[in-house]
Amino acid sequence: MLPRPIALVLLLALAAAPANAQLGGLAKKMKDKAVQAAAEKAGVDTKNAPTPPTYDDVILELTAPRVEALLKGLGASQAVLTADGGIPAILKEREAIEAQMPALNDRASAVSSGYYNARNRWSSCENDTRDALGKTHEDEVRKATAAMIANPTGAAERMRNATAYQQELANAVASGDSVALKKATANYYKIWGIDLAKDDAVVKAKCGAPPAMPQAMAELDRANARKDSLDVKARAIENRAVLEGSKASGLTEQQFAMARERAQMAVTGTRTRFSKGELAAIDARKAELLAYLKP
Amino acid sequence: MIRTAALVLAAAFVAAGEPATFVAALEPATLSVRGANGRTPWWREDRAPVQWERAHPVVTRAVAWHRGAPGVEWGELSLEGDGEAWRTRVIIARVDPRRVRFDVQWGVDSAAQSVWSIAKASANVNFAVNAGQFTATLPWGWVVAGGQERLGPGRGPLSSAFIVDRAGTVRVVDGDTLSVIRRSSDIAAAFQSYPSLLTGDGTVPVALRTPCAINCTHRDARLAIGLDRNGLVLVALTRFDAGGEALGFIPLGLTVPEMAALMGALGARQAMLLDGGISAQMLVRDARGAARTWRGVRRVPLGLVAVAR
Repeated sequence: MLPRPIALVLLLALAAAPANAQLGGLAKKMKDKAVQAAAEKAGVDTKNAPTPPTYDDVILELTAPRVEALLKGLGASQAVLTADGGIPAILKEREAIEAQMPALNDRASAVSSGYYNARNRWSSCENDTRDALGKTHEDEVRKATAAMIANPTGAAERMRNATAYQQELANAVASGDSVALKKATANYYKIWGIDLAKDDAVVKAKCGAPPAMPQAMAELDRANARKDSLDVKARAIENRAVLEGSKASGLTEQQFAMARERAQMAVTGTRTRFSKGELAAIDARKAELLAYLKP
Repeated sequence: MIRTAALVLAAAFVAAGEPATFVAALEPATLSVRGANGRTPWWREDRAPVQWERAHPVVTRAVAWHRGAPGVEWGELSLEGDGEAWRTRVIIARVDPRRVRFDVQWGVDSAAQSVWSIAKASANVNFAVNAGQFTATLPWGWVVAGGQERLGPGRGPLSSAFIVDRAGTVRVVDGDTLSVIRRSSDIAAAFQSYPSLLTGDGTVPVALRTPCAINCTHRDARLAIGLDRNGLVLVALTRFDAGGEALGFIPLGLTVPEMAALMGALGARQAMLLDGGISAQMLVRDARGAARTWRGVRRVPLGLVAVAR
């Protein structure tokens, strides 16, 4: 939190006119709000001559070369935003997809409840079948375990295989490879004498193939996925635009953002926090700046 | 990044004098209402409510309300805070979604430039304000404008979304609920912003309480939007109040927790910040149809407007 009397510093920095010069001395004595009120009462004119801020490693004085650098940065940033169609092309494609969404939604809605009902029926059948198979497998595992205890040599080999398949499973999970995951799972279960492929066949024989998603729903999913990927692409371009702007200007990202913000204020009429030199440098390139910093 | 820039700019303003002369002991921040009878304190950082169950009478009584176009009222409030917030004027708009219809206006042109400003508001717009936050050009987070989704939800721990359904009902929800909500075909308009100031039933997010998990000391010109317990949309815009409107939008004002308190004290249940600083701009149509405007300095990519039903 800033100390309260800092407001006075601001006030005086904003004023700084000869008519109010006597308040400079007074200000040093102002330590509470009662004195702030006195300052107001004294008629401090905050609209007087501009006073430049203290320049530091983020707020740079906007000299002619720095305005030039800023313009280069703004140009580079804009170029990234529009290169190869850039963000406008992405927005256009997204807009086109969005325009199709009501129709896609309608078509998908028309078939979705039928699909979900069929899917639920199939899932229910699959669960029941796999539950029943699971009970059988429990017996198989018990038998396999008993066999392992009876045959320590074979048990050691099974344990080695189990460790290898567990690693295979972990790798598949880490890579998000669903095919590899299915294979690793099947291999792991084989150690215990369980053939998952046979289970799949039993499920298929009893429940049939899982109902396929209707084309209309798949199209809707694809459209949503495409929109999301376009968003990601647009955000990436935005981030790159900021980086390239900073790079082309030779300023850090913070310096570039600050220079842009201050130039924006100056070209749009808020000229109370600039030196005469800064205003001259900005005014000399005002038209070019305005191309990027529309008021 | 723009926010960072504003922060540094504000720091530079206050550093222009002789801070060493004025160093004072750090005290809990406070907010007071300024009126004809002096100042009336109503909030203290170290005794801040974690939930605003109702509006604060000191604050609501101090607002001078003006009747605007149908469904719109606006008022002004003079606040005194710490540091450079010692003169803060708040312009408050209260908009009734039952009498107006909200929409979000997309303001990015074919050259990827932000083009929206309150100057674009047509004559039938009774209320307009810049919406959301942005980074380079695009709005941050979810945008539905004119019934069309323009951008998908953004992810962030303290985000909220302003949602208008096809019946015109408005709600403000947590940003982490949007993956399901966005698939609804009932969304007419929406935008996302951050940080959330109030959630649920007036609860101040933990990150905004003391000790604060975000930057809770930075002061800036602020803009917030929320919903009160009567279903009215509340918008509060702060202005630096010592140099007239010309200096109104210089980036000095309240902290984030103070804005949460202000929205709670005005009666909001849910609220979030919008882009303040030099972006903040608002238009309110008065009862005679004339536009009252509080301008920003730049064009922005998104606006929220309300037209009479």
